[in-house]
Amino acid sequence: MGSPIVCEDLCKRFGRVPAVDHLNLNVPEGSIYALVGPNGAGKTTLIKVLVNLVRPTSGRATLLGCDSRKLSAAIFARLGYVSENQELPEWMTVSYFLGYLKPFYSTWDDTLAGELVRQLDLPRDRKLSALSRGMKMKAALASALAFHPQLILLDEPFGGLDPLVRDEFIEGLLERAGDSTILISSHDLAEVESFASHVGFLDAGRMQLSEEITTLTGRFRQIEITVNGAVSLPQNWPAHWLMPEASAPLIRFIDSRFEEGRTAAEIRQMFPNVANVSISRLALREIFVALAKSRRNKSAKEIAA
Amino acid sequence: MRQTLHIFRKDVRSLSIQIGTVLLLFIGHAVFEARSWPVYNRETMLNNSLANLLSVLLPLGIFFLIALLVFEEALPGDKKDCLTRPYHRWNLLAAKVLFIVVFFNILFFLSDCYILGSQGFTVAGVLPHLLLRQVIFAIAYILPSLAIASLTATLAQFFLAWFCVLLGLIAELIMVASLNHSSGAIMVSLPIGTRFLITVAVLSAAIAIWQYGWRQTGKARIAAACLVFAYFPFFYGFSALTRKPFAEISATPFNAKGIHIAYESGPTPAIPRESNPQSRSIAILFPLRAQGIAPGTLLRGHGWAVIRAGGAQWPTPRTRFFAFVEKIENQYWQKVTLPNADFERVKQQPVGIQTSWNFEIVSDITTQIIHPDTRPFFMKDAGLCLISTDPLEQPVLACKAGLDAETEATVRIHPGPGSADIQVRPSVWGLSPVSNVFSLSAPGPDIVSVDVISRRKLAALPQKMSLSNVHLADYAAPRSFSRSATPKASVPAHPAARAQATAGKQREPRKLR
Repeated sequence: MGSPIVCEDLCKRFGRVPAVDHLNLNVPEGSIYALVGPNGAGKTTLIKVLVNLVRPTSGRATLLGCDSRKLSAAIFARLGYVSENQELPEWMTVSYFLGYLKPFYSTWDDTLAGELVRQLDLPRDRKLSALSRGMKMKAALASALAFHPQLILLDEPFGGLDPLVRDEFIEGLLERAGDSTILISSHDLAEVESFASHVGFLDAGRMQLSEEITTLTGRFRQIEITVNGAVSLPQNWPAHWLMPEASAPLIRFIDSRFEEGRTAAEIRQMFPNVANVSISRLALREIFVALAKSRRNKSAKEIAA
Repeated sequence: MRQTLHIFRKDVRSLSIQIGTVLLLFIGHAVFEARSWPVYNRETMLNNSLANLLSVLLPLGIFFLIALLVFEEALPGDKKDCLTRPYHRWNLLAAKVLFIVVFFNILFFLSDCYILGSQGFTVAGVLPHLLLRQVIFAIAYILPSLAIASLTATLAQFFLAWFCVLLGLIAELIMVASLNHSSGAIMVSLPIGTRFLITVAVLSAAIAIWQYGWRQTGKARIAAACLVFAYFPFFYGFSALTRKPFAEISATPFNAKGIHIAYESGPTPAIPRESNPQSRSIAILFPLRAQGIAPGTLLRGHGWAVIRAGGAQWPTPRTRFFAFVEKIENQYWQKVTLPNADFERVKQQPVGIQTSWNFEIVSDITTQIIHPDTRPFFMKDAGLCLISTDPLEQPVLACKAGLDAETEATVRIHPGPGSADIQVRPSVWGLSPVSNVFSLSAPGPDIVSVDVISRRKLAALPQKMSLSNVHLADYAAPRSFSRSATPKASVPAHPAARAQATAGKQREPRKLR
């Protein structure tokens, strides 16, 4: 099977405001793909387009090989979807909710459902309306995993959850997801970094980057250079050196294409009087802050120009 | 099918309290309606009032329950859990229809049977009528609600949408009425006919199917609004605007099956007196000659008339005056009511009048029941009747019709003067299968006999007639009690007498076609 999620030149506009802007995306099968980005980046809209809750303005998205506009019951039977804004049938108890959903899925696993309820510590006989927000999210997760979905879409699942519930949620997800492909949108970069295999950075409706986390963290480094003499940033500053700061005798920047030998050669070429070079790894959060800030600065300069 | 039943069971469990409430409304309505008859006293009047109250609450309860039923799996919006679950949409729609049939149609059918049976009407003989009422009930109450609910997500939206639909229809009625209204001629009537019912049913079903099948809420809402607002201009206003102009109406004499109807060509009979002197309008009575009207039958009819004076058309090129047939002492008349102010302007000049008629021949046979029973008894064309005493201890004849016949009759009681034309039939849109009570009080201590004159429609005769070079003043019905008018004994109102009185003054003779 090909990629479970493919977007080609996908656009979604609300009036004149583009929420998703000519977006291309390819989520590899079996991956845990983290979709990250600032508020209003278009993460939720993209997921809603994928599950046909919102129709795209132009372009195309396919989910499990099917056009997102024409998702059939057979596709939904292979798809688990959990969203922080999901409206569950609140009059149902947890048991009744899971029992009600069972006949809709031919792959429903009663044993797995029971284990999920136990593992997530869900009260079986309590109505969904009486559950806290975190418990509702866990009930939704249990209902989205109990049928061995091929694809799981999670839209901001950690929002408002306390650390304990969050850990339980992630633990439940990772243990039970099996070979499923997971697409998760989140602000919580530290959390995402701990389990995601791929990451996509969405900003202003456009995909800024999309790659494996190990590759991404491997090519971003923070570099501090100590130079002898006067400190100034050269005119021909490389575009892949982000967020440069100069404060004698230090120059600090983030290299977005780090390769040990090549980077060292570039530094020597730019700063012949270098005294010392310090290289440190960056957390995913720091990488995205750097990307977001440099993008904003670039936009501001373009506007000023 | 399994999924349909699964969703149905869930809906029943979810809405059990609301179902119970609607069930109570159905039972209450049926019981109070059943106990509002045949005795005619304060208790039955109270029951009748309660039944009327419940007949208002019950539709609201039905609307409310349909909305909640559809909102269980609301289609608009992007937050409902059901939208990302593997529902087969047709199974979902089938589950909603099953719910409606079980909790509305079957209850409505049972309620009808109970009311008819408990009031002395037969049920077995009117099964086709009962089934037809199910269809009308579905079209009037259920399908529009289902369609609107499928386009909305909350009760507030649902009732607001209903309000907008009704407001839109009223606005359109006013708009069409204003297009057709001039000088007192109003020719707009509520278009609650078969075509209207079929249109409502088809549009409502189409919207619901579209929404359940393809879930395109935005487009479906726009389409629904366009259909509501286009209904009247398209089906009604448009036809009014394109009605044939005056010149195209041909004056073809009607002569079919030995019946000939025309304007009177011989000596004109005396014009009857107008009985409503306070009115700002004036009645014009043209005598009609009706030949071939068999004994035991009656000519009646209504039509649209236009008057042409000095090259202009009255009331306007697009509108018509309402005309109808009146029989006064064995003479048939065409009665047209005109505004006084306009009449005064044209009364002395020769005018032409053309009328497009829908004549009909109805039965005129009297059935007399002497010393009627004090128990409920059937009178053909009047319904199930009962003679009792009213709260003032006066004898009263009360009748109520079921579904077995469209009744229309003139009823007279002896000793008089109780007499009335009645059209006793259940409302097409009503929740009750029986009509309201028609009652007629007698002045004496007892009702000795009852005459029922059946008015069964025997033939419909459309016809166009015209009359030229007439003076409307010759045909104006004089006012009996007009305070301002003084009797003009010297100038008789009757055209023939007037012609004699004004001998020597030549006038162009009236032409009759």
